Amino acid sequence: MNTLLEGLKQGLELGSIFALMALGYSMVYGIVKMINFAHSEFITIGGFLAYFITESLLTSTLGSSVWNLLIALVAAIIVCVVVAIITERFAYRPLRKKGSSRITALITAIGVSYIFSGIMNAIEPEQLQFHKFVDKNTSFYIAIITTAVLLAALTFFVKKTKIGIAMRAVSENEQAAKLMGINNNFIISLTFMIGSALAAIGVVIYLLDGECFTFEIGSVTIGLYPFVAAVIGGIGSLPGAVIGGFLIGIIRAITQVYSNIGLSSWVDTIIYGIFVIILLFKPSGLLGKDVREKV
Amino acid sequence: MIWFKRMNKRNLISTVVGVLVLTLISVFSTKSFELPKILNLIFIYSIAALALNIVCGCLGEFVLGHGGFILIGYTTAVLLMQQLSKLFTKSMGKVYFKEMLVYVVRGGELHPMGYVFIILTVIIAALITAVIGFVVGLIALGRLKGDYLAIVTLGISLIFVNICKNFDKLGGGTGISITTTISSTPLLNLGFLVACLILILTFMGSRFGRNILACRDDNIAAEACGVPVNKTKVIAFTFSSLLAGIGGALLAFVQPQAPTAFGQDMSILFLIIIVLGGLGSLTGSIIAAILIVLYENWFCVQSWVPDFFANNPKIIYGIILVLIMLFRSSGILGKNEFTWNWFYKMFKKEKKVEVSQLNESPVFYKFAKLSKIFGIIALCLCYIPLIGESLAVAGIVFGSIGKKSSNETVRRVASKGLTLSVISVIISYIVVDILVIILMQ
Amino acid sequence: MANTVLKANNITIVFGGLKAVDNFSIEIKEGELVGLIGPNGAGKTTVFNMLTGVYVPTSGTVELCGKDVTKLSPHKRVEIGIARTFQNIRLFKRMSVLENVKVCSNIHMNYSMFDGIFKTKKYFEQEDRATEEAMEILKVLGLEEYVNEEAQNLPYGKQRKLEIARALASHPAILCLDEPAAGMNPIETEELMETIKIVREKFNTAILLIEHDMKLVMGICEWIKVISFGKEIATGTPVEIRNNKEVITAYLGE
Repeated sequence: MNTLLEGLKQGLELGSIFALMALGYSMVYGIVKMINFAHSEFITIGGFLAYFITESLLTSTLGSSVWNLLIALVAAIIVCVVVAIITERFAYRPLRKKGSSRITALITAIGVSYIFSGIMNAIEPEQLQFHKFVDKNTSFYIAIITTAVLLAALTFFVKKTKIGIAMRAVSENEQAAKLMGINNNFIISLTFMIGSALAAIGVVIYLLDGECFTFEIGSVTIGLYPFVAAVIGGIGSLPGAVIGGFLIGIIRAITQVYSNIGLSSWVDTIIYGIFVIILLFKPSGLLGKDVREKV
Repeated sequence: MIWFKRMNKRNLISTVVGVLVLTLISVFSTKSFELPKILNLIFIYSIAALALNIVCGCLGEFVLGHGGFILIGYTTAVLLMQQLSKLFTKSMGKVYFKEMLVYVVRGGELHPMGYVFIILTVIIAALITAVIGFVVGLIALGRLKGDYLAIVTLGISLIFVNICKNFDKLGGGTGISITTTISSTPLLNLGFLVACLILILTFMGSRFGRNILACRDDNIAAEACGVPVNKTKVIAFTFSSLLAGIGGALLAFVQPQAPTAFGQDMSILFLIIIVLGGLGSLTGSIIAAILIVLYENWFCVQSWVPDFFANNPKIIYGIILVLIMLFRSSGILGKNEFTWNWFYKMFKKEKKVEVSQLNESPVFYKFAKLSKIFGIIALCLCYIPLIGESLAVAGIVFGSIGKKSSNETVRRVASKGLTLSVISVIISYIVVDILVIILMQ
Repeated sequence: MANTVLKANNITIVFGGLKAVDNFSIEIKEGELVGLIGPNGAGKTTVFNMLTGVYVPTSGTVELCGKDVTKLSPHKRVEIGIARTFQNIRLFKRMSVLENVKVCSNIHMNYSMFDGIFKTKKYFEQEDRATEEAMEILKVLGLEEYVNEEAQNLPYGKQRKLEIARALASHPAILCLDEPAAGMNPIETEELMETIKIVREKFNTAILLIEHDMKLVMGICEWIKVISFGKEIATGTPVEIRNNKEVITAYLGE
C-alpha cells in the first residue's frame, strides 16, 4: 500500500467490517449489559466454516462462482447463530436467572471464548488462505455497500418494527418489559442471533479477497477492535458502532501506509490510547447517553 | 511490641512452624532440578494473585490489566540489574563480580551479595511499578466502572506490551532476561511471599483495609460514612501494582519471558486463579496459585497425562472458568480464609451423642467417630507413604457414610473426620511427590 | 440560644427538564427532632441527597454547623457532622456488625499507613478506642449480641438499627434517617420510636427524619416540614400539620 488514498480506501473497507462486528457487540451489550467476549470466537467459527465450505465446493460444479460464496456465507451465518443461541442458553441465561453480577457474566464470557478458541486451535492450528473470490477493488465496494444496507435495515428494524421496539424496551428496563408481556428470553436470544449473523457476514467479507487467517483471527487479528469501536461510538448506539468501526479501520490502515517509519507496530498503542482517552472524557462514548445511578 | 502480646499464641506458633517447613523444603529443593522451578513459580504466582485479589476481591473493582503491571516489574528489574552489573563490573573488575553473582543451578549457590542485589532490585522495581500504578489508578478508577474499567485496564496493559515490543532495549520480540547472570532461589521467593503476606494482612487489618472493604460492599454507603472512596480506590490500586511489581521483578530472576507473554493471556490467567480460589480470600488465591502452577508445570508434563492437556490449556481454563461461574461462583474458599482457628476446630471434641436417642442405626455414629480418629492419625502419619494414605482413605470412606446420618452432631463429627482425612491425603501426595522428584534426580 | 446545625437556603435541583426540588429551605438547631413528610415522589430523598452531598443543588446553599458545604463531597461532610441512613438499607453486607460501625469511626482515626502496617502504639490506641465506642453504641441499640455476625445475616429490624448505629459512630451533629420504619410492624415501630428518642438523648444529635408512618412522625417529631411536588407546602408542629388543609389535600387529593 503506497499512497494515502489507497490507505484510506483500505481503511474504509476494514472499517466497515469492524463496523458490522461492532454492531453485534453493541446490540448485545445494550440488551444484556454484558461484554460478550465470546463474540470474537463467533467470528472465528464463521470464518472457519466459510473456509471449509468454499474449499470443498471449489472442486464441485460451482467452482469459484458467486454461488459457492453465498452458500458458504449462509452456512456460516446459520452455524454462528446456532452457536450463539447455545452459548446464550447454557452459559449466560442460567447466570441471568440467578441474578449474578455483571462481572460473573463477563468472566463466564471469557471462559466461553477460551473454550471456543482452544477448540479452533485444536482443529486447525495452521494458517489458511481463503479463496480469492474478488479483487481488492470489488471487495471495497461490497464491504461499504453491505455495511450501509445492514445499518439502514437494522435501524429501521429497531425503530419501526414491533420486535425492534421490544428490544429497545428490554434494553431500557428488563423488569418493565417483562411486565408489558414481552418475552425477554426470546428477545435476548434474537439479539444474540442478529449479532452473530453480523459477525459471520463481517468475517466473510473480510476474507473474500483472499486473506490469510489462523484460528486467532477472532481473538487476535480482529480481536478487541470491534469492541473498542463499539465503545468509542457509544454502546447501544447503532450509528455510533459504525462510526467507531470506520475510525478504527482508518487508523489501522493509515498506520500500515506509514509502516516505513515504523508506525504500524504502534497501532495497538494508538488505538487503545485513543480508546482510553475517549472513555476518560466521555465514558458513554461519542454518541452514547449518560446514565445516572439512583440513590 | 504490643502486637506480639495480643496475638493468639497457638496460631502464631502454627504459622511459624508452617513457614519453617516451607523454608526447609525450599533449601533442600535446590538438590533437584525441577522442584526449584515449581516452587519459584508457586511463590511468585501467589504474590501476583494476591495483588490482583486486592483490587478485584477486596476492593470489588474488576481489572483486567494485571499482566501489564507484572511486565513493568519484570522489565524494570531486568534493566536495573543490567545497569547494576555494568556499574559494579566497572568498579570491581569483571572476575570478582562474576564470582559474586553465580547462576543458581542444581547444587549451585547464590553468593550473599547476590541476595542483596536481588532484594534491592526487586524493591526498586516494585516502587516504580507502584508509581505507574498510582498514575493509572488516578486517571482510570475515578471515572470508570465495571466492564468499562476492565476493558480500559486491559487496553492500557496492551499499550505497555506494545511499547516494550517496539523497543529492543525493553524486550523487543524475544524479551530481555537476566537469568544467565543471576537467578534466584526458592528461599528468597518464599521470603518475599511471607513478607508480602504480612504486609497485606496488616494493611487490610488497618483502617485503610476497612475503607477498601467498605467500598467493595457499597460505594455510596461508604461515601456516606466518611470513606474517601476515590482516594481509597487509588490506594488499593497502587498497593496492588506494588505487589504486582514485586511478582514481576521476582519473575525476572526466575525465567526469561517475552513482552507478549504478559498480555491478555497472563491477565486472564491470574483472573482464573483468584476466581478459582475465591474473590477476596487471600489463602484461597495462594491455594489456587499452587493448583494452577502444579497443573501447568507438573501435571501436564507427566507421561501418563494425554498431550491434549498440555497442548490445549485454553480449553481447560475456559471450562474451569465456566464451571466455577455456573456452579460455585464463590470459588474454592469463597470469602473465607484458611485460618488456624478453623483447622484446630477439627480436633475439638463434639458434645457426646446419646446412642439410645438416635432414631437410626448406631453405625453412623460409630463410623463418624472412627473417621475422625483415622483422620487425626492419618494427619500425624501422613509422611509415611502407605500407612498414612490407607488410613486417610479409610477415614474418607467412614466419613462419607457418617455424613448420611440424620443427626446434626453426628454429621459434624463425620465431616470433621472427612476434612482431616482429605487434608492428610493431599499432604501425603505432596510429600511423596516431593520425595520422588528429589530422589529421581 | 441553641446553635444551628443544618441550614438549607432555597435549594433547587433540576434533572434534565424536571425541577425535582424547588426552593426548599430548612433550619435545624442542636438536638431538634424534625420530620420531613410528603406524598411519594415529592422529593424528600432528593432533599436528603442534597443535604448529604450526593447531589449538588442547581441553586441555593447548604450550611452545616455554620460552614458552607454546598459543593463539598459527601465524605467530607461526614467529617463536619452529618450522617445518614438509606431508604433501601445499605449496609456493608459482607462485613461484621462491629466492622460496619467502625467504618464510620475511621474519620476520627488518623494513624498513618506506617502505624497500620507496623502496629504501633498509636494504632492500637485509636483502634481500641474506636472498638469501645462502637460497642457502646451497639449496646444502646441492643445489638451487642450480634457483634461478630455478618451484617447480611441479621434480621431486617436489626439491620435498620445497625444502619443507625453505624451512622452514630461518626459523632454527627445531625443524623438524617430515610424512612427508618419502612417495612416494620407496629411493635417494631414502637421500639424504633423509643430508640430514636434514646439516641437523641444519649448522643446529643439533632435528627431529621423522612417517614411515611404518621404515628411515628406525629409521635416523636418536635416540628414537621411537608413537601409536595418538590415544593414546601407547610411547616409546623404535629398538631398544626395534622389540621393543615393543604397537607390533607396533597395526601388525599382534591
